[in-house]
Amino acid sequence: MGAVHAKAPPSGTIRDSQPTGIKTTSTPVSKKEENDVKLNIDKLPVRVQRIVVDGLTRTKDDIVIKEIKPLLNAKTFDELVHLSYNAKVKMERLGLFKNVVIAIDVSKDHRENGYEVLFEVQEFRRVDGGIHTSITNNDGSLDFQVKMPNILGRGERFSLDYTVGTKRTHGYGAYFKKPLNNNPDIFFGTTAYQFYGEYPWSGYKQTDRGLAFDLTFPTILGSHNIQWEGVWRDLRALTRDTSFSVREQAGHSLKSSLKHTFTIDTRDNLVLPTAGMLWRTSQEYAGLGGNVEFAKQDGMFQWNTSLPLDAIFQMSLAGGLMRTLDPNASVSISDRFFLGGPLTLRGFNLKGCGPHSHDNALGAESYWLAAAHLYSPLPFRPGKGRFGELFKTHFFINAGNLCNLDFNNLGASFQDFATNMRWSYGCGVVLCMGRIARLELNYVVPMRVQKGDKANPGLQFGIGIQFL
Amino acid sequence: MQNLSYLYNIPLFQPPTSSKTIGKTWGYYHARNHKNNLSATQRSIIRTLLSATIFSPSTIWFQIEKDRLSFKVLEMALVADALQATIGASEPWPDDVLLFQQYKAEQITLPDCTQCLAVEAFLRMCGLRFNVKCKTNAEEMSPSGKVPFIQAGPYLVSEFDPVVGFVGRKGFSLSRDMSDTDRSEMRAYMSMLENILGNAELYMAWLNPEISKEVTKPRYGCSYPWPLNWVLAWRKQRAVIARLTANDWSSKSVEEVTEEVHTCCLALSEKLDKKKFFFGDSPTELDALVYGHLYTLLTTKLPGGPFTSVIREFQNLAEFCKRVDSAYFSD
Amino acid sequence: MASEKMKLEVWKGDWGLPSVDPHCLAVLAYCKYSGVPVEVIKTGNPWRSPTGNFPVLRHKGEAYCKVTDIFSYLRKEHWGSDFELSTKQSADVVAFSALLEEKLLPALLHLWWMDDKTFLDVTRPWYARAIPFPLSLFLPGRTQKKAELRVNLTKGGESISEMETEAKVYKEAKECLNLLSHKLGEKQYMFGRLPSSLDALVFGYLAPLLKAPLPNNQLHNHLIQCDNLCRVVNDVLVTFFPADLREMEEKKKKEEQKSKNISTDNSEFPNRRRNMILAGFFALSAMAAYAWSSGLIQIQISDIDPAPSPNSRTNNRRGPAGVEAGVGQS
Repeated sequence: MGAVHAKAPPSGTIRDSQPTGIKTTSTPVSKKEENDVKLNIDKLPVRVQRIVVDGLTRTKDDIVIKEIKPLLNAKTFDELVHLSYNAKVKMERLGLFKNVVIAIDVSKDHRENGYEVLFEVQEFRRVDGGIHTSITNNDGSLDFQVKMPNILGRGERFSLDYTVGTKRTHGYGAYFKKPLNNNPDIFFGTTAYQFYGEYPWSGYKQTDRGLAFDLTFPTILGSHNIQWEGVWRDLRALTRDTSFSVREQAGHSLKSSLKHTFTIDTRDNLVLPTAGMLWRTSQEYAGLGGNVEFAKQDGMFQWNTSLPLDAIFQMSLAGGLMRTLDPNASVSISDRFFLGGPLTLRGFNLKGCGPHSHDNALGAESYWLAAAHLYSPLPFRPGKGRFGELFKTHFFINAGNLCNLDFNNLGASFQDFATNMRWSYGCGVVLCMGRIARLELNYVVPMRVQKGDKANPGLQFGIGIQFL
Repeated sequence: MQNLSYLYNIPLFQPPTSSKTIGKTWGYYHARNHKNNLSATQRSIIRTLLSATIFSPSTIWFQIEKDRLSFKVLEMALVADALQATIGASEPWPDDVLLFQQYKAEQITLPDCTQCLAVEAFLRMCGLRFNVKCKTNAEEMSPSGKVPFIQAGPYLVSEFDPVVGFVGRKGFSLSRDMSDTDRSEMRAYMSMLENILGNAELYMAWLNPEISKEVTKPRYGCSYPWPLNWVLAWRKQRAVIARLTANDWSSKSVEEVTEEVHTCCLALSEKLDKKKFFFGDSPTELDALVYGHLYTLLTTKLPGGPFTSVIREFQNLAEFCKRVDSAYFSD
Repeated sequence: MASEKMKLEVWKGDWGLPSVDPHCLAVLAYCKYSGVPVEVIKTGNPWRSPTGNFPVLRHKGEAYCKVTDIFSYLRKEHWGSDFELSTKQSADVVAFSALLEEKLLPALLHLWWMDDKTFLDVTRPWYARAIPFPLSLFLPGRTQKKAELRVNLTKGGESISEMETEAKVYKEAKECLNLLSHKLGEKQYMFGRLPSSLDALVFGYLAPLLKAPLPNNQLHNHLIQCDNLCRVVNDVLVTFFPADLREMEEKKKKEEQKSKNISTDNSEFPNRRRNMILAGFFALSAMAAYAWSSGLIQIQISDIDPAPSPNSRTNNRRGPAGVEAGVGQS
């Protein structure tokens, strides 16, 4: 802000360092004789007389009123601009409007210091649809979606999805989300879905039919998510060659679980951050009814820092542990941890680490994984500032282990856990795709491989949204 | 079919020894192509090859060139029952054979129980070592989706006929010394059991409102928590109804079904007559199957007791069941 | 009472057979064997049939549709060919009838209705010709669906692929043919010199397999290797259904003559060309119509920006109560 030279005639516009999206159509210039006036806009007294929100059709008034009410308390012009901008940001976050434009004007009845603020909003269409492709780990899929943003007028969102994947996977689901207390950060969601997936690395296929309710709310530390999920899973052997250890687990199971996820994310980019950290832990307890009983703890930590010459250092740690609570049954293969793949423990096939039976990965009940990356821009910086920013070269070291802990002899198990680790190093190119996915082409040298592992030395290509 | 075929070339006078030569291949062996102009060695090679495939008439095409016998195996038949049973079938009967089925006391349904008992009786009649293993998810584990199935080494074989074929490959057979006519009669009676008693059991267990509600569905769902227990039982019932509708059984009345069962038992009773077993003094596959069906029907208590009285009319059949029970299930 | 004659409606015959349907053939053969005074109506119109299929036996106001029902009704009326059999042989009849239904019928259903080539080249054209117009549109499809359900639900399963089901069905059918051949041996009929209801069923199943010009002929090939079965079928055709054989021979002669005529006659060509031009014209106009219509239905996704409406109310009240959400009506 600061002082501005306003020039007569009084209809001249002021373009200050105001936040974008604000157009001040006329200036509050008092009738002064001189042409050049030094005017301190900050302190200009203001009385907001009217606020008009234009373009509301389905949105309920109360949710908008709540956001714009603070404007009435504006005392100075500076405050008014600030508050208007905040209101705009908040309104945009409600997920109701495509865009919000603010116009501040002197009030029509020309009272002294009287202003009116006009919000021009554009609501989302009642029903919106789309077809887009999405990427999960080394699998692409086509998603068809019909969504109804703002179905009840207070930011409630309802969507129907249908997904077809490359590996004969397909699924459909319905999702409903409602912000609580008109606050877009606190929301309640419920979803019902059916998903059929094939898991060739373990030789099984599974149909999931489930129902979930979840509540997300922020705290000063980070964001919490509490979810209850009830899912009926129908697991079958994928082929006739599926190992008997996997085939043995075929059948129906009903999992009813409570899961708490805690996230702190201060990174500036999801795929190639230059600074910030991510902390995510989750606890899952299955056994509220149903016939699957286990407790699971999973967590990851990532830390990024910028170095000279546009280089970035990234360090990641992840680990997990689970334990069956049913003395007669072990944890099902669809709940277990797997390790290995071109984006996690590089140098190994997808889920290629740990216990195997006839080429089928069996997974395990605990794992740890650590990675250190050094990213730098492409040599000679082609496409600098444009597409070149999507690419980075990186050097990395991965280490990790996956095994079943013996709870009666924890000391020895942990020693095993540390000594029987796998590690690899290498370098390659990373491409950031669509802000959430990433594509890597690496040359990897696996250094320690354990019996039964499927190592993949040399060039390795990976694409996905989960990486370490 | 032709696209899937593989061409194997093996030098003559050297029969394929390892199972790897054959790989995972099944098919029809074309009888007409090999009859003429084969030397004894060539015939022995062909015989070796065929002994490695479980169903004798399978798809192997032979072609004789100068010094090579080439044969083409069409990778096609992989019939549910052939499964992985082909290669290495000439190995001896392993010690750790397991027969998988559902829990008898609480879970198994009437139609499944007859099949499991028949397979068990057959293996016992052959005098083979095996252990019964009960699993609640036996049906989903089975490669064909039906119980029972046996695990012998790396091979899984499910249902009665394929088990008979698999055991036959291992050199055990109950019907080897029978005449062709007797064997075709035996197969015919076995078909009759499947066609009439098998469908009648499904009909009674799943379509009879009283029995399905009070016995079959609770048993079928007993190992699952609510609400899976009724969802799965309901799905199974729908599948059975679809099957019985497809072969015109669901439109029959209880009386008609009972009449069919009566006809079937009458035919069996006539065939058995006063003999110890259906074809003389030693048991055959038919005896195992008849025992499986009739013993289950006689001993299962169902509301209304639909077929028990019908079977009891035939004295010799009831005695036959007792005889087999004491001879093979006395341990 | 007996004055009323029984009426038997069956599918039309072809290829030298009195009927093309195995069940109709079985009933026809049974009637011939036991000398039932029955009036046979060969038709292609299942409009009046209670099940939409044949055979249908009508007598005294009742209609019987299933083969087993017809057999037992005839037996009740003392028209039977099984009275000479011993109880043991009767038991064999039951067993082998079940064998046919369990092992051979699925293969025949598969061959006629589920094998794509046979269905497109033989089955559908035949039924489309035989059945009168509106019914011919959906009856073959319905029968195909029924056949598919029957084969897949009884022989297949969700963990068994279609290929495997097919292989299994044909394997069982071939085995069944072998068993029948063994059972028949060198005898004239299954149980000696007199035909039984089992012979009627066997004839019904085998005759179309032997005589129909089917492109997928692995079962046919297998059948002609079973000499005694072929002999029985041919004997029955010659002895009991000579009229149909003669008819076929006449038809053959006519066709030969016709084909000779065609080969010498080129007058059909202009017609053909005209047809081709017409077809081409039709295809072109259809394409043009499509292009035109799709241009018309072009989806216009344009967002109508709700312009600041002129009637958005103005309100000069002040304070918190003065906040107003102007509702732009669009």
